[in-house]
Parts: sequence; C-alpha cells; structure tokens
Amino acid sequence: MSTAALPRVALVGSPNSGKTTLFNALTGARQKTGNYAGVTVEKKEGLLALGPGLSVGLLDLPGAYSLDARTPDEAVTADLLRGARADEPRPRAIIAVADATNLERNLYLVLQLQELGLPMVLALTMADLARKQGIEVERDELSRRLGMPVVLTSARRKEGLADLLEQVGGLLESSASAPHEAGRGAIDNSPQKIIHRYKTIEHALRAALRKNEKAKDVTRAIDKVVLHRVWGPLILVVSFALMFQMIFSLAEYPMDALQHAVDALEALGRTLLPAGDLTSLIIDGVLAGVGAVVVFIPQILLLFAFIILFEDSGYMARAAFVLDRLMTKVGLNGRAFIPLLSAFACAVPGIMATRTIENRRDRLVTILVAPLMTCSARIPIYAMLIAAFIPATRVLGVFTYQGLTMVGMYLFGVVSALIVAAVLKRTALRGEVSTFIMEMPTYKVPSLKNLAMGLWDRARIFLRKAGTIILAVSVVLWALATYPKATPPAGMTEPKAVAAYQLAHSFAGQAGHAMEPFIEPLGYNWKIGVALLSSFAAREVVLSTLGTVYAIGYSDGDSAGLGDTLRKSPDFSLATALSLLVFYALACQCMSTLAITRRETNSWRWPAVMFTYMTALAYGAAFVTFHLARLL
Amino acid sequence: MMPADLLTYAKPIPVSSSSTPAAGRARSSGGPPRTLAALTPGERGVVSGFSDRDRPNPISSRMMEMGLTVGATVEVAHEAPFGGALAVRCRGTLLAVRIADARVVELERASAGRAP
Repeated sequence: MSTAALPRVALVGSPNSGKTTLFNALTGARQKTGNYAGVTVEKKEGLLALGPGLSVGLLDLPGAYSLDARTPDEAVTADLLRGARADEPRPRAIIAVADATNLERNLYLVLQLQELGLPMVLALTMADLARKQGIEVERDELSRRLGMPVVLTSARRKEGLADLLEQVGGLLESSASAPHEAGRGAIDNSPQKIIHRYKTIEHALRAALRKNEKAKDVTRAIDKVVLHRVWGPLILVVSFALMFQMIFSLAEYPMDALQHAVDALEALGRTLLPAGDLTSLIIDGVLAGVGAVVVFIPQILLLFAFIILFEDSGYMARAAFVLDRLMTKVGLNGRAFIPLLSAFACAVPGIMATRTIENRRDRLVTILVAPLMTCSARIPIYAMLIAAFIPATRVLGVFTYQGLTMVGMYLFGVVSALIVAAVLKRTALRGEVSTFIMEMPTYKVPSLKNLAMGLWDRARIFLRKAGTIILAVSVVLWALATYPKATPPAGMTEPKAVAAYQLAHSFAGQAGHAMEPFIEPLGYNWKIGVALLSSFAAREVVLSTLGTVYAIGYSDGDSAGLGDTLRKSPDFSLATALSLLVFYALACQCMSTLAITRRETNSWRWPAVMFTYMTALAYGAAFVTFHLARLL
Repeated sequence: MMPADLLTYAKPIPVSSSSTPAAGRARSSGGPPRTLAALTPGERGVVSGFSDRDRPNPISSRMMEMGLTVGATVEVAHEAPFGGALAVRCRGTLLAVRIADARVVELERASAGRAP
C-alpha cells in the first residue's frame, strides 16, 4: 500500500485525545507503520476511503500538547504541519482531534492548528462518553464560535464517521488549488497569545457546552483510591505483581506449543533433508537461532497487552505520578517507569518507549539502564541454572529457594539499573533536575480493537528483528562453530561426542580456548567461553551452545538434561553457576539492543558506552560473586 | 533550578504525621508570594504570575499551555504518595506537576481557600 501519490490529510491531537482509536476506526487494517527519516518518531499512515474511487492518505501524527515542540514527537508534528520537513510534503488538510469530555484543554492545540491556515475539521471524540457524563455539546454553536466545521464522533459506536469523511472531502474540494503558504513560520507563543487562546476557548464553551455538574465523576472516585497515600502504592505493587504472575503463567502454554513446533520442524528437517552442511545451516543455524527467539513472542505480546491496557485505561500516567519521587531519587523521572517496565519483556521496545521523555539526559540515562532490567531472554538461562544448582527446599511454607532466587535475579536487575542510573546522573550525564508536567487522562474502558492493532504492530516489529539481525547473527555464529572442519579421532562415533569435538576445534572453540585466561578468574572454562561468545549477539542461544559443547545436545528443548550434565560436570561448581547468573544479568549480550540504541540516539557513541560499561560491570560483579561463593 | 530548591527537593519524606510535606512548604502570610506548591489537597487558588520568566527555557510556558494561565483557578487534588509531586485540577483536567515546578506558580494572595 502506498499513499505517496495521494493527497494527504493529517490527524492531529493532544495525547489521550482518542486520536489513535479514531485513526483505527477510519483506516481499519489499511495502515502501515514506519519511521520519519533521521528521527526515531514512529510514522503511522493509513488509507482513507472518502467515496467510491476517492482515497486519501491519512497521517496519524504523534500526539502533541502544543506546536511549540518540547519532545521529538512534538517536533515532527509541528515541523510537518508547517511544511518544514524536507522528506514529507505538507498535508492538504487537518483533522483536529479533541476529547469531548476534556474540551477546554484539548481545544488549545486545535486553536494553534487553526493558526496554521490549513483547511481543517474538528472531530470531537468520545461523544457517547461525554453524553453519559452529562456533557452536552451544541455542535453548530461550537462550529460558529471556533470558525471551523465540527463533527461529533464515537469510534466505538461508529458514530459520526461518515459525516467526518464527508467534511474531509469537502475540505479537499474547496482547497484543490494552490498549496497554502500561510502558517509556515514559528508559532506565536507569548504569554499574551496563550491567554488569548484560552479566552477564546472559554467564550466558545460558555456558549456551546452544557454540563450537568451533578453527573458523577467516575475518574475522581477512582483517583481517591488509586492516588491515596496508602492504597495508591499498594495497588501499584499488587497490579504489577499480578501482571508478571499472569505473564509467566499464561505464556507458558503457547511458549511450550511454539517450542514443540520448532522442535518438530527441526526433526522433520533432519529426516527430510540429506545430512550435510546446508542442512546443518538450516537446522542448527537458522531454525535453532531464530526459533530460540520466536519462542518468546507469547511472553512479549502478553507484556505489551498489559502495557497497552494500563496505558489506554489511564492508569499508566497515575503510576508515573506515584513513582516520580522514587525515580527522581536515582536521577530518572516518572515517565522512565514505562520504558523500564517494558524492558522486562525486551529492552528493544523499552528503549523505543523512551521517546516520551522530554529531557535528553533523562532519556539517555533511561536508554542506558534499560538493558539491565531482566528481559525475557534471560529467563531460560536463569531457569536452567537455578533448577540445576539451587535446592528446591521450601521456606516459609509457600516459597522455595529456587523461586526466591528467581525473584532475587529480577530485583538484582532493577537495583543494578537504579544504581547505574544514579551514578550516570551524578557523573557523565549530570544536569539540572528536569521538569515533569503531564496530563492524567480520565479513566476509560480500553478498546479491544486498539489492543489488537497495537499487539499486531509489536509482533511485526519483533518478527522483523528476528528475521533480520537475529537470522544474520545466527548464520555467522553457525559458521564460526562449524568451520574449520575437524576430523574426529578414530573410534569416536557417537554423534554428540563428534559434535562436541567439532565445536572444540572450530573458530568459536579456538576463541574459547584463547579467552580462557581472561575468564578463568570468573570461574569459567573454555566451554563456557564458547557459550559466552555465541551468546554475544543474543543471550538466549547460550543454552543450545552449552548443550553442544557439553556433548549432550539441546535440540529437544530439554533444559533439565542440560542442567543435570552441568551439575555433574567437575568444571561447573555452584560458584561458577552463581557467577554465570550474575554475568548474564549484567552483560550486554544483545545485538538488537545495541542496534536500537544506535538508532534512537543517532550515534555509535551510546551503544559503545552501553556495551563497555555493561561488560565491565558484568565482569567485575561475576568476579566478586565467584570468589565470594567459593569462600562460603 | 536554584541550588536551594534542589536541596529542599532532595529532602527525605517526613514520616511523622505532625510534619506532612505540606507543612514543610512556605505558609507565611507576609514575605514571598504564596505559590501552588503551598496548597494542600483540597485547597484552591488563582494563578497570578510566574517567577521563572527570566530564566532560560522557563517551565511556565509549558504550564501556561497546559492551562495554568494567569487568572486560572487551580486546585490541588492529590499529593503523590511518596511526595514530590501534586495532582492539580485546572480547566477540567488533572495535571501532574512536581512540587519543585509548582513553586514557580504564584497565586493571588486572597484567593486561596478550600474547594467547595
């Protein structure tokens, strides 16, 4: 689908104005996401059918409080609407979006948009909700006062959408001639002008809005509890604890199913394809590498489902408000909470979510510490090592040492991230305390359609990553572990022993031997060295490498078998296991994280800083862990 | 951000009930103007001006754009459970504002009072 040749209409509104819901209702599945050139702001575009044979491109511009931009998102919106972006033509018309239940605030941006001089129509969203809250909007009066056509819509009930399309068609017809040259300059934002805009809004609303003050305000009632001194933090802890519990328990079944599917494919490949390097490349390289990552999709999607639900319900802003004080203590701000939470699934979406942080230093600190949060790729190795080396003894009735160690690993990630953030804010990324002003939206019942489309978007991004970076790296690592070919000594026929011999003599094996002096202080032998190297690009492949190098194979997804072998192996002590746990918690073994950091910061400097500090930290902490554990 | 502000801002949250965070904020009748930061939950006031206009990149321009203009009525609805920020009701919306930032918002002297 290409909308490049079509006339373009921009959808513009404040955050939480219901813009995305309206966009989804207007374009349905006919949309695509990408990026604006040079910046990392997400670009969403869809096809808008105005009538038979008449379609225009609909551009969903990033939410903005004002055209006087303070974030990269707002800058894209402001520049594009002014026609100041070289890569994007100025839209022909604007659909301004304002939440009918929050008109006074939302109309501010609308008045700024009007000053741009482009043809525009105002779409009031959530008209059904407004009526329910006793808010009556006199559409014609509002239209007259504001000097622009107004349409009352409700995406949920498909109300007003046809009317809106008709209005857009009318705008395009009447403005078919020369492009507008007005409103290309910077927006006037003197205090006088700001006050004038709000005065205009007050006058317009006094004439066109009836409010039943007696209607009960659900948001106020919920906030009495959610922002309460005691209940607020309690609800926060309980809801996020429940979320994690549900992610792990619900994801288990689809993950098992996916793992079985990958295993079945591997088995099928081995029976159908002739033995040889090409088959090995397909099965041990591509399938094993990409399969190891794809298995995490259920978990990542579940996490995103919760994040989207928290976000769309209006709770996320409250969580940021409640936690802001704690976050500022370590030099972050309340908005860093969402990216850091996302990083529990995967650092890549976490880092992408830092875009809403206005302050550049705050944003950099958040990006740099996000990979320390325990992402789901760490779970397999934690699970294997803990199951093999930590006793399952019960403590206090409901807990086990194994469960507590797992929780401990999560806490370790969080605490490390907070400490590193605090250190960065006091040293390299010193700066004044940033400001924090944010609208807390009214609570809403999240839309299932938004949820589905959001998840579909995330799944695509993740699969693209698996299909490109991870595929490429899997192939390279496969080659390093396969060549040069070694001839096993006479008498060695057992396939797993041959595979282990081959790996030991490959480039990867040689590198493992070469690095042994450096990793010996951490309690690692050359075999673990090979595993470290192979998991450099994606930490989740460590298990399959360990499986191969310890000559037991891992293709059947049997981590208990691997754990048993490691525990019985003389070169793998409890101290080594603990040291390895700490190393995997802190090391930056993720090519995708480095790639996304490069993209988000627009320089190689920050991924380099990230890789260096994390590797040094992992090495130091693993060293200390190994030696402490040996003393005990 | 003045250094003095930073120090106050970094103070730990008082735990005893007799010294709530609000009590630690300015409450004098004379002296410096009363600010948004001095309101306790349930209290409201009318914005009279901003004390950061001479600073570079003032926070007050964004505050004004969010609706906290001179003459606007503001009401503190909640204080963040761990302190540090206020939920301010203004023009029908709830805004999260840090106390350090709220100090910039000056209120009309006679305006403060409890919300009905």
